[in-house]
Amino acid sequence: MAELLDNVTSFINDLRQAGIPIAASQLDDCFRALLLVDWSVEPVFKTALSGTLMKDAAWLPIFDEIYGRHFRNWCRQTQNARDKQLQVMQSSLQSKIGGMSNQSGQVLESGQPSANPGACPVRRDLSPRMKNPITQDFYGATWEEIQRMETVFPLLARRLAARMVKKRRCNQNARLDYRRTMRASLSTGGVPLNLHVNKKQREKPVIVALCDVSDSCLHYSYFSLALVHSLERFFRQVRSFAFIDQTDEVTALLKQSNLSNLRSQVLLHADTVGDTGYTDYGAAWESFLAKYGDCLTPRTTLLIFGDGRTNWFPSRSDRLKEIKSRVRKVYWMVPETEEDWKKGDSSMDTYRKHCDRVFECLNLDGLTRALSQL
Amino acid sequence: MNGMKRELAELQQGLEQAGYICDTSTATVLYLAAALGKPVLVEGPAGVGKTAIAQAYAGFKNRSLIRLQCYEGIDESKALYEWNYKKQLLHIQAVAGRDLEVAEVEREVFSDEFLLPRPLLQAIISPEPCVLLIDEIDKVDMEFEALLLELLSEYQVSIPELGTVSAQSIPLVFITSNASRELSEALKRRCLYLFLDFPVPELESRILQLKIPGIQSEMAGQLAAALHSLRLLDLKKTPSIAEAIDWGMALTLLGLDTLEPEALLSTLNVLFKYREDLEKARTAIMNKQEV
Repeated sequence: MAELLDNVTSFINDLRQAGIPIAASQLDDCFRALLLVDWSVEPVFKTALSGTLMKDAAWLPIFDEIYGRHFRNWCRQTQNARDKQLQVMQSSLQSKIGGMSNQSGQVLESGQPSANPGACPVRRDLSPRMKNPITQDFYGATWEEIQRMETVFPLLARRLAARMVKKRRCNQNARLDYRRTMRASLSTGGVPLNLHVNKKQREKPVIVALCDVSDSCLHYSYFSLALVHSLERFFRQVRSFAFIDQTDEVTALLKQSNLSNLRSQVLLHADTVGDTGYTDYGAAWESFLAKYGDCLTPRTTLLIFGDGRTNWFPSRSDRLKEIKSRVRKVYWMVPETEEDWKKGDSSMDTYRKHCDRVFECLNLDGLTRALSQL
Repeated sequence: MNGMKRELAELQQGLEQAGYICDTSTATVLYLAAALGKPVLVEGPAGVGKTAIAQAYAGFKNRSLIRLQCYEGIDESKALYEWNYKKQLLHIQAVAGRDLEVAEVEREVFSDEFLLPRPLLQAIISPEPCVLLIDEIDKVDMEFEALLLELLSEYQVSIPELGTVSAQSIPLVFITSNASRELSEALKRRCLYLFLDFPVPELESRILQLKIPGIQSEMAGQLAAALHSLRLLDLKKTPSIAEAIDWGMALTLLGLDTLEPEALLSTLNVLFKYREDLEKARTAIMNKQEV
């Protein structure tokens, strides 16, 4: 029966490794709840764990997956347990309650047996380490990892939106309108009881998002398009374009589809492949200017999502310079580290001269942070 | 351990009598909340019964339900307490003629009879145990959340003029959220988490039978199955339980005993509130004939 207890502790360990934040006080609550419930009824046991450890709906699928791995043979295990053994387990749980929060999760985080002889040793996790989908790099992610990223995507979109709202509210530093205040004070006997302020109207930007949808940055581009589109209400207008060596508008596609079928929709309907089918940034700038040059106004902020790898085609950075001259700002989010920008067929060094700011966005977290600075 | 099973069953039955059907997980969370003395954070899609569960629980336990509806910009004076300025001013005017010490007047003016308790303070000073429902907490800003944190951890409020008021009995707190923004970690840590999702067809059929008088059980089963398939479509707004109950009532009013495709198609606008959703549902039903 000590295995059950071990199982619970390693289960919590796995949840933490998957990126779910679990505080020490929550462990206390979890063990207290486990003491109160009947373990032989599975939904009750599962709810005791999820009610105390989970705090967000976006993590529920990950919780279910890890729960399935640990407690698959639940019925068999508890049916074999006798009351006496359950009592023994309960008393050891009781002793753990104070101890766990005192050690502040030392035992759990290190994953190794601690020096304290009273604490039970944590079993080493035999399954492969699950990486946190938010800080996992796009490059080299497997299919399951991408699926997990898609699951936490709404959580991130909401957080980014909350950050934008807060930013917008903080930037409303109103200045006192002296003239209006003094005029109003005449009605209250010369005492300025009512203060009038000049509310600063911060203009909402118009966003044009230009996205490289070739294989080299496949998943990155879709996440970034979806994220930009989720922030629609903070901008006056959002228009999105995808390109490989020819540019096409995908705003309507984004409105209709959600994240999971966005990839297939864009590949089917968008006209992003020109003569060669290989990524050619120069040809992309050219076709963008030719077809959609009129959407570039001095109010526009241009966002480019791509790795700058042009397959040794001419970089045509003069076209980018032309684009920059027409818009307010140009921001480029690159899914590679800065050192990689000089290697291989990347023309980022040439292109960055014509950008206002260049961001390194290796994972979802970096992407969110870059976008929050708009 | 058997006592716990019995209590859970009693809880589920009691809630059903009060008009709310829930599954074992939900009942477990309520049971744990009462036992551990922690608030319950209820999240889920719109219309799934987040507010209804608090009302049903209050009805079952025969306690008063104190409701605080949150909105953006709500502050202490609307949520916690407010001094009745007008009454205080009148009182001061009234005793102006008499020769009283300033401290005496102050003491009189800042006393219980001039305090207007708002929902949160009402829940704390209530002599019997009560149920506090804080609705749509995701609409409030950070300062208000900090206020709530203090309240939910200690169940006491400090009023500068009167001193600290502690709760005589800990209320059971329900906090509902539409998850439109991230709540602060500290607040989430203090609560037990309950995610109410759309129910499975058997549960939904029981809900329909409970809420719609005069509906046949076979019809309820068909409705529940139809709703289950309709919710799987990619919709802008998935039909909620409240809309399902309206739909059932509409079909019962039309005098139908079983679900036919024409009846289904003609009453779809009770369920769907967006044109695109309506079209998608129509095409899905005509393609699949799933009823």
